[in-house]
Amino acid sequence: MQLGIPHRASRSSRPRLRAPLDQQAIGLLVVACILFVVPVLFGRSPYFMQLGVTTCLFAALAESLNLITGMTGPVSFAHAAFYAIGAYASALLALRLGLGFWGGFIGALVLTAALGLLLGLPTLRLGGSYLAIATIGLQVIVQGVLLQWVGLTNGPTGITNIMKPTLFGWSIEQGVPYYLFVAAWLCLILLLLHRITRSRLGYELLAIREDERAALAIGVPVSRLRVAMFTLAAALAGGTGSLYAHYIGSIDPYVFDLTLSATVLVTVLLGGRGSIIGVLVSAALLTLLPEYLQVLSNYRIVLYGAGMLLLTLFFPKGLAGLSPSRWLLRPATPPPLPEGGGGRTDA
Amino acid sequence: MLEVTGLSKHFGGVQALQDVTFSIAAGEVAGLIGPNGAGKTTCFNVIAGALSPSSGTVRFRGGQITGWSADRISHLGLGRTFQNIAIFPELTVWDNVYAAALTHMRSGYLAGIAGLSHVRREQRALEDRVWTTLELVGLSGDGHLMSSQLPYGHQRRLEIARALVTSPQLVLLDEPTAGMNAQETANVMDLIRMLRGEHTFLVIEHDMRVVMGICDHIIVLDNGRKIADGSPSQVQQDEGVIKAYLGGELIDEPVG
Repeated sequence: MQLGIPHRASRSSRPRLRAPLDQQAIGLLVVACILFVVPVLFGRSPYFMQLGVTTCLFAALAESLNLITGMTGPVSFAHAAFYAIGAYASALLALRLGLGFWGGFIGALVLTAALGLLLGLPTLRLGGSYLAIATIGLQVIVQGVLLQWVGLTNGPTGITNIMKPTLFGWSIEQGVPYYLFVAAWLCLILLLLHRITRSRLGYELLAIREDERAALAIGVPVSRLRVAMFTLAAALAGGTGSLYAHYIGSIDPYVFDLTLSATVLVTVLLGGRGSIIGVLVSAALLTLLPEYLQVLSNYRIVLYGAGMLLLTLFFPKGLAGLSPSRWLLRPATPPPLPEGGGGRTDA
Repeated sequence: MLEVTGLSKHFGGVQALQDVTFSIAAGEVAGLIGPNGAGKTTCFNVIAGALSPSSGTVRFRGGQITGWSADRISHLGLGRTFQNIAIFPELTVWDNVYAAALTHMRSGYLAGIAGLSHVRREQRALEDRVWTTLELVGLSGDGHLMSSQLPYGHQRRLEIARALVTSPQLVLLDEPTAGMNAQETANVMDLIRMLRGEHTFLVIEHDMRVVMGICDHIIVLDNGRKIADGSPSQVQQDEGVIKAYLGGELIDEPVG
């Protein structure tokens, strides 16, 4: 393989390339700034801090699904299942085995990764709608197990008195500290996703999403990457579940239902598949809007459904399709331009 | 460069390929021709690893690759295009080619995510390479366009660029000029002529002017069997080939 050696024929006309502005990086920096300015402005209000934690957790969950459904392609209805397993694993390890928050958190990451790998290997061989149905089954089974395996999970009662995390001897309490903790976790996930989209891996994932056959032909190890991303996304959902459990203090199986899985999936589709910033915005909208629509609470579900229907009908590419700047919400960077013009500028 | 020996492939009861044997020397432009349904595309798919053969072997660059997966064969130095275009529709023209270039980079996944400096350097070199490849097929002005918006002929050229950007030793082109106008066809022929020597080509093509114009070695398939193999002039005079091609149209009955 002689990479980097240009074709003889065109060496003379090779242009010097000018790197384009990375709008996604700038957008994410702005998001990070907003995340850490929020407590300065609203830190006094427990209500706002709670809303902030909920938003960050939901955004982290949605972005982890974005890795599979958004960037790699497979549609999964089982993301709430991994979120649940992370929450339960962390709570049980911390309480029953006395491992504390960090033991529980790391245990949740490892366990959900292992389960993601185990369940991803057989299910990801299925294509399209079969995979979607298989993941619905998975989701229902996991919730069923949480309800029925009373000896381990306490069944419908759930687990209570889950302790707060400690960091360097300090207990991370509700309010500003926990908000910052969860915001940091979200930023970590955003950074990971951003780096993936800017690297070889991200482009190979997009190739899989776009056309499997062609992805194989250019050398992408399709099945291995699909399983790897399912595993990684499961682990990130598991870690987020752990943060949820230790925040809320008591968990029960009813939260982690198919509706939650479907909502997370809709968040990714609404944001625009693969668009980190699009999914972030849609996650924020879907957590914050219902709060402010409570006046209309009786009609909320109707409005929600109608909005969803209109969006999928008229904006199939989600929020990413609405962006005035084409590259802000895209996973890929704009192509570099030759120096001294010749190329088009992006408007 | 490529040796195919006793290759057979059947789908259920349908024998798509039957004991096909041929070889292609390095630097050649070889043509694979035959009437519709002769097994040309099946033959491509078996060579490229998209299908595994029922029996027979494929040797590429001196080694056995029979039954290897397509991605592994790609990394050994084989590039291909598809008969019914397989671009990445929701990616830009640039990203279609860049994705293929990145897939063949030396640095691994984790180094890429970490953004190490040698990876950045390699990526920048590849950007250059993507640009020159796009220029080669005449798409350097269309890098920003969503590839699904390109006209048909341009999409074919994009696929060729995506196959070429990884510097494959062997390039399989499945009907590269289908749906192109005369000018575009001439451009593709020029391109193949220009790149011979850098790559070995195996081309499926229906347009006989293209085949006779660029190939120095032609393999003819009919009903899954090889019926001729030789230089363009040899093949043109071969009775079996004339029967297979003309017989079907002129004297329907005698040829079963």
